[in-house]
Amino acid sequence: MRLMRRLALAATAMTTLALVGACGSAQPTVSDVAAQPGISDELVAAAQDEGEVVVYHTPGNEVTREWVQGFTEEYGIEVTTLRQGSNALMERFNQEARAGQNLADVIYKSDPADLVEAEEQGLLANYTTGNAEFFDDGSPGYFYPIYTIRYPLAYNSDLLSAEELELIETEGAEALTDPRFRGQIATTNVNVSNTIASFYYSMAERQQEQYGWDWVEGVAANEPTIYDSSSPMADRLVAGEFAIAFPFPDTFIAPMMEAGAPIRWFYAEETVAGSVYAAIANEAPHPNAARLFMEWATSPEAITEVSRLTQGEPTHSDAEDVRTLRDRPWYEPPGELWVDWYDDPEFLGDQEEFNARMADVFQYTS
Amino acid sequence: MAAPTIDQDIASPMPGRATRGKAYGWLVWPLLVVLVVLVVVPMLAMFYASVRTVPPGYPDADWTVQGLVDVYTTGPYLRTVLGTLLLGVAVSALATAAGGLFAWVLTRTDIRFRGFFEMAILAPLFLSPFIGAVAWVTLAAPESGMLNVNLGRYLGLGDGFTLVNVMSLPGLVWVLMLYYIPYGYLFIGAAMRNMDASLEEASYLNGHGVVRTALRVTFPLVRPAMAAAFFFIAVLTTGIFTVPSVLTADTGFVPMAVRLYRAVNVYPYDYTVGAAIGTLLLFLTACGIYFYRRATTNAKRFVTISGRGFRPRLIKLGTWRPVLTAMFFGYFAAAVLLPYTALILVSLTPYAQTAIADMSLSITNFTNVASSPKVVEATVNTMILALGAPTICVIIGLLVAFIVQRSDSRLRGPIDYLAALPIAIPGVVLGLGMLWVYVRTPIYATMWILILAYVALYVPHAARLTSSGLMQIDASLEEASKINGARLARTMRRVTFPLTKPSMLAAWIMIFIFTGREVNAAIILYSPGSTILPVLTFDYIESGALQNAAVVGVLQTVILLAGVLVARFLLRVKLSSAV
Repeated sequence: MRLMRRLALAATAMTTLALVGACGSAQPTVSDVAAQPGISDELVAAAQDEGEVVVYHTPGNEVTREWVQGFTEEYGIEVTTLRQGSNALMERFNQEARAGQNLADVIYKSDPADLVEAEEQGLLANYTTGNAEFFDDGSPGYFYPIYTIRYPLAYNSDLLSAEELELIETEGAEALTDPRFRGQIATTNVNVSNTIASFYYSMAERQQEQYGWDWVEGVAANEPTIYDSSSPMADRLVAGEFAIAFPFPDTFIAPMMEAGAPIRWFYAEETVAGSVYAAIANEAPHPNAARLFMEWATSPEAITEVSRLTQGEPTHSDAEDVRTLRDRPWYEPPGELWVDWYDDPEFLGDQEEFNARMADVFQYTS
Repeated sequence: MAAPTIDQDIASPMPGRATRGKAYGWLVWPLLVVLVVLVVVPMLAMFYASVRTVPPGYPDADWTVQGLVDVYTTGPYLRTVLGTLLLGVAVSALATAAGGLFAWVLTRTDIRFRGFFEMAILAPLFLSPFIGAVAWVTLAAPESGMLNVNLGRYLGLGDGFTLVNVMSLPGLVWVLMLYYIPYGYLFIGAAMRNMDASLEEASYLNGHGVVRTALRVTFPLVRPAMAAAFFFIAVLTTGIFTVPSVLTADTGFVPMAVRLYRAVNVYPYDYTVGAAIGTLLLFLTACGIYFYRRATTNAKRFVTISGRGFRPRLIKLGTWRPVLTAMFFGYFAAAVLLPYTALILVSLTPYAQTAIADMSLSITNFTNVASSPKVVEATVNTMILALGAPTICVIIGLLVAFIVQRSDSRLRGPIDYLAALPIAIPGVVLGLGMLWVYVRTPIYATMWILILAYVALYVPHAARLTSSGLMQIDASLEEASKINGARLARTMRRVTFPLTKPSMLAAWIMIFIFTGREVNAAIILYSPGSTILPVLTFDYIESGALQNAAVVGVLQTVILLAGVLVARFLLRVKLSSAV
């Protein structure tokens, strides 16, 4: 009886191990993806053999889906996507890398600070795209800009009176401290992403004469709704839950505006700017498909298309600027841009203290 | 989670009349290992993670008690605990009271449309509370909700009119109450149906009226059922994460389950604190289940079923009939009609539009989203999960029931207890534990980790239902098979399975439905290739695409309803007895 029991236990354990071992997809051996730039027949064949590329991204699901569909149509390779907020996405990527579970082939996100850190930790592949010479941003060999983003202050024009609209159009961001906008504003917790923090840092510290902490405290006095993510905040702005919301990428709300939503925006005198970048993971499970995707994503045709979908300025110097946004009568392009915020030693050095002060001013609960 | 009937413990006592056979050691030990791996190991991983400085598997790990100290002793977390408990008490009290009232009306009065109203009360059980919360946001967000915008416009009250605000603490209580009332009804209704009506008859004969009889006889006799409902709903409320995460953004209140999710998914991450919150949440829900089990045990002292036939006198409602009829229709409208109508409307808009007169309705967005590769993949994954998890659950449940009722193994008690344990484990807590156990294994990022999580969550229900079925089978039938030379496998195949088929089917359908709507565990465990529809809905909400979330919510509801209709009309499963 004891022998039977032990044999049964051993059989169960072995069966369990075999089952676990046979389950799921085994991680393939990944070779270094540094190779000759450009698209070759060998690269296409190798990528098609792999059959799939996994893209972790922060831009919206539908816009990204529509864009990467072009890659699938051209090469017949499935693109599997996973979207999360900026910090959550990198945390997932880092955690999976540490656990030896490399699922992502391509990281496609804004906030280059995360990508710089990932590069320093050896999590990004060293790969120079065939289009590298056409970009003047990003980190050559590691991540490349796909389209630009700016961080405006947006409003729902259906919810503001003519007087309020005029106030905003004449005074811009300064108008938002007016008590008439009490309860009508939404904004994001600066801990959500470095870009959000850089927006407020720019307003509070870099543009002290025009705005400064008085402006920040004036906005806080209007009891804004605080969101942990820009995305649902943009949706609620469109729905009419509040009249004014910031900051989020202009490319986030532009598709909604194009679909007919009554959304407009304007920029502060200095605007935080950046790009959405693409990078290959160093331990990409589909390294050839990842390279082919990068070649496609950095091509002038793909960048023209993503610019059309997102209304973000194209980054490839040969890409066409087909944005219809520029024809809108209310649209004023941004003035001064702060593009190297992610590398700014003053901002990075002050960030912890700055975020703590912001938490105190806005009384974040999460 | 679903509601057991009042006359059964979750861990059912071994029936005295069943003749016990062998120990079946070759079955008992593997079953024990499976249950330990499914249930105990993830919980141990979570306790372990609560005393480590970094998540399991990370380098430079060290021991720490700071997370536990912070969560168990500091003000912010204690306030969260208090708030979560108050939320549980509020929702439980209201859902139990409302469920009890519905049960009394349907079992004691001559109300019309009884069958329809019972179905109306049970309908929310088969729908997703998370989808319901999303739908209520579209209906009753303070400035942009459909009710507020359209009533303000048509009543001439102007923009900015707010009749209802679901993005508030009362709104959270309201939505949770709507979806937990069915549990209150099931617990109390079952007790009322089984009550000896002669006690109430005696009260009437002594000149007491309807209300006095109800308050002095009927409800006191079902007090254990009410207590069981109260604690069961409190446990559900304490452990749910998705509904509060949608509705509490503007309130400043963060329930414990949401705090846990944020600790591991929102910057700044603190996995140690997340695990510590998980231990505290588990402790609270385990306490709730303890009191629930005491209430069901106490119910035996209130048994009034006798050998005589009994039929309660149906109270004539008279002028109260329209009022109570309106009450039932009102509940159905609030729980099902209104939110799902709003959801369908929003799914047909190109962006978030809530003024009906201004809506540009079109099937384009619906078909675009529904046919997108991501939604198609999520639908396939959901079906794999909803077909696979119940199948495995029912097999394990039947084996547990067999061992508990038919074997004389000394391990049948621990097996029974382990099979019941997941009732006390919130989905988000189990998901976290499983993540840390399996993150370095090949099943991470596959459908298998989701299937394992769902099997762990729902094996108590499979064990309970199959145990009920097996309990009704006289063991002499199986003994006759063995005496005639049939081995155990043949006996189970030719005798046991056919006779327990109704209870196995009921268990399968119930777990299919619960799997189709569960998201609390999946939100922790999903990956690019294993996204399911509920997770996709959550993702669309987080990414600000409410109309796309509405499309996926409608698809998910269609799948659940298809399961309910197949069960009811094709398989003839009485779903009210399954939950």
